[in-house]
Amino acid sequence: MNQRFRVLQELGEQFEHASQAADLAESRSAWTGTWLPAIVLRLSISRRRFWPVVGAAGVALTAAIVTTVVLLSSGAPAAAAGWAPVPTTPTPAALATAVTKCYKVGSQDTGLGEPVLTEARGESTAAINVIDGQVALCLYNSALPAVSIDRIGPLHAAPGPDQLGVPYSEYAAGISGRLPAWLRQQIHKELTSGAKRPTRATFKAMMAFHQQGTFSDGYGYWVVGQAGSDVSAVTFAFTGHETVTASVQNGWYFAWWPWLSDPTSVTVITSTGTSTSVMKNASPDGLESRPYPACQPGSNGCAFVNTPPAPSTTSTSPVATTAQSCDEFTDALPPDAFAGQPVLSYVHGAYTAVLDVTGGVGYICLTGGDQKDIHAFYMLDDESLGRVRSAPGPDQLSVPYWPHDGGGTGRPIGMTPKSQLPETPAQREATSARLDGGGYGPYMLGQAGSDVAAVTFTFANGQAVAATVQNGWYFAWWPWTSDPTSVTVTTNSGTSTSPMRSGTDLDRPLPGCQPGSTGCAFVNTPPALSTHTTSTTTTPTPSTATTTTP
Amino acid sequence: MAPASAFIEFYERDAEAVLLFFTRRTLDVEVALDLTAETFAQAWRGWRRVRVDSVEEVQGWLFTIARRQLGRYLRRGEVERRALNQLSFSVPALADDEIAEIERAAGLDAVRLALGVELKKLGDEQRAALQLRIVEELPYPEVARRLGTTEPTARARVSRGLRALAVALEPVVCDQRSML
Repeated sequence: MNQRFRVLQELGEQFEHASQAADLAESRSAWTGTWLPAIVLRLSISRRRFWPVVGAAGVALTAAIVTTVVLLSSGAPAAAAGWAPVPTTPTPAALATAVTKCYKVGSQDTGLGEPVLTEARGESTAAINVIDGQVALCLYNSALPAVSIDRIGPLHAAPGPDQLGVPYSEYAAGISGRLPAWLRQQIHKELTSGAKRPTRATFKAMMAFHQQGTFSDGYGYWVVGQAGSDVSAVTFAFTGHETVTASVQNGWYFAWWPWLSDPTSVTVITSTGTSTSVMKNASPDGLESRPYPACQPGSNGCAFVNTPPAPSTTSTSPVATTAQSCDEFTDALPPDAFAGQPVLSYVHGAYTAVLDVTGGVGYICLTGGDQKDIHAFYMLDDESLGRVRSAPGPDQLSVPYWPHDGGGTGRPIGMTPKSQLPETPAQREATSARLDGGGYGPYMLGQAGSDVAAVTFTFANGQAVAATVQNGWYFAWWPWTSDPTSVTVTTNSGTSTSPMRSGTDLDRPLPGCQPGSTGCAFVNTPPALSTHTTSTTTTPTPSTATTTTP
Repeated sequence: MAPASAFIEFYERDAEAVLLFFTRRTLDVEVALDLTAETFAQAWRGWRRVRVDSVEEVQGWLFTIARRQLGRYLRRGEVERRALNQLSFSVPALADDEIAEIERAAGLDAVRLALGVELKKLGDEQRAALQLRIVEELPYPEVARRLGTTEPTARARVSRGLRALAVALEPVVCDQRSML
C-alpha cells in the first residue's frame, strides 16, 4: 500500500486485510489441514428469507439472532482424528457439559428444554434446540474448552415426508488465542458493541490467518435442517473426502465435517427406498444453501426442495401477497401503509413491485420469488421527506425520485427468477456481473401526467425498457447500472422523446425545461406538494413491463 | 469476476483521486474522507461482481458510486456509512496539517475564490449556514446555535447550499482535472 496521505494509507490497509483474507478464503476448498479444535460457528442468514418473517415479529431484525462467541486465551491444535464421519450418541455427561458450556450463565437454568437432536462426533458434542421458533446450535469440542452457540434462523419445515428442508445457511470458523492482537480486538469490539456476530470481513480475516499458519486451529462446515417424517438416514458425499453420515432425530438432520467444501450429493433413506440427489454448491459469497432448480415438494430425485408454498387462496394475488410482505417488512411504516390498493403495481416474471402512498409519503417495495422475499424497499426521496410531488403537466413526467432507503436491501437484482438462475457459481457470477454495480437499485419512479399513456426509457446501446404507467405514476427498473439516455412519452396527441440527464443529475430536468415546455419529458418540480393517499386511488390493473434482451 | 487482490491495486491507483474529487465538491476534507471510505467500502462489497475489462471501465464504475454518494450527501447533509459499518472499517482521524495538505492537493484555494463569488448569489440563510460550517469550520451544533435553529435544519441549509454551489462550481472544479 503506497499512498501519499496517511489517512488513505490507513484506510487502504483495512481493505488490504479484507482482500488478503478474501483471496485466501477462495482457495479454501483446496485446503485440508488440521481441523477446528476451537469451533466458533458463524451464520450467514439468508436475509431475503429472513426479513419477511421477522418483520412481522418486531423492528429489530438482527435482534432475533443471538450469538455467543468464546475466544480462547490459549489452546493447542487438535488433529482431525478427533472427528468421525459417523455420529454416535453422546454420553449424558458429555451432553450436559456441552449444554452448560454453550448456554449456562452462572447457576441459572438454561430454560431450553430438551434438544431436538444430539450427537457425538469424535471429540465433539452437538445439540440442536428450538428456541422461540428459531434453531439454536450448540457445538462443544472436548479437545479444547471452546463452544459455539448460534441461533440460525426461523424454522422452515420439511416439505414432504421423504424430503429434507433446505439447510439453514451457515459457515464456520475457528478462532483461538493465536490470532493477531488486532484481529482479536476487532472481534471483541464487534461482539461487545452490539453486533451479534463478527462481520464477514472479520470472519474471512480469521480464516486467512488460519491458512497462513499463524494459528493452527481449523474450521469446518456444518449442515442442519428439518427432515421429513419418513426420513430415517441422510448421508452427504464429497469429492475427495469421505462420506459423512448425518444424525437424524425427531425430524431433524445435522452433520459437520472438518474441511471446507460443499457436499456434491445427498442420499436420503426412507421406508420406501434410497434416493440420491445432486446438491448445489453454496453461492460464492453467501454460502447459502438452495434447492436444486425445479425441485418442488413432491418432485422426484430432489432431496431438497423449495420452501413449501403457502396455501393458495383465490383471493391472494402476487400483488396482494407483495403488499402484505411489504407491510410486514418494518414496523416503521404508518399503520395504514400497504393496507389498501397500491397506487401502482408492477408484475414482471417472478418480480412484483407495489407503490403505496400514505399520508403524502411514498413507499416502493419490490419482491421476488413467492412475493415474500423483499428485494428492495425504498421511501421516496424528495429532500429526504418522502413527500410526493405531482406531475407538472398532462403530457409530462415529474423528475424521478431518488430512492431513500427505508431499510431494504437496496441491491439491484436480476430479472431472472431465482429458480432460473444459472447453475454454477461461476455462471451466476458472470450473470450477476451485469446486475450489481455497487449496491444501488436502478429504477425510475415518478408521477405521470393524466394524458401519459406509455413511457419508455432508452439506453446508450439502444436498449429500451418500457415502464408501467398506472394511476398517474410510472415505474421501471432494470438489472444493470447505467442510466437511460432518453425517455419517450406517449400521449393521446403523439409521442415525444427527450434526452435525459445522468448520474446525480437524474432527478433534474434539462436546462430550460419548465411546465409547458415542448420536448421536455421532465420538467421542474412544481412547488406545491400533493397529498395523495391510497384512498383516492382507483383500482389498478397489474401490468407487465417489458424489456428487450440485453 | 475481479479477484480480491486486484481491489488493492484499484484502491492504490484511485483512492487519492476520489478523495480529491470529494474534497473539491464538498470543500470539507473530513466529509470527503468519509465519503471516500464509504465509496470504496461499497465498491469492495460489489467487487466480486465487477468485470475488470479496462481501467477506464472500473474507474467509471467507481465514480458512479462516488457521484451517487455525493448526491446522497448533498441531499441529506450527512455521509452514509452503511458499507463501512458492515465491514467494521474505521475512518482514520485527520490531523490539521493533513487537512491543509489535502486541501492544497485539491486546489481548494481556487475553488474557494470562485466560491466567494457564488456565495453572494445564495439566499441569506444558506449563505450564513455555509459561512459558519465551511468557512469558519464550526461543528453543526454550533452552526445551529448561531443560526438559532435546529441541527437538522442547519445541516439541510448547508447541504442545499452546497448542492447549489456544486452546480455553479462544476466548471471550476472540472477545469482542475478533467477526469474529476
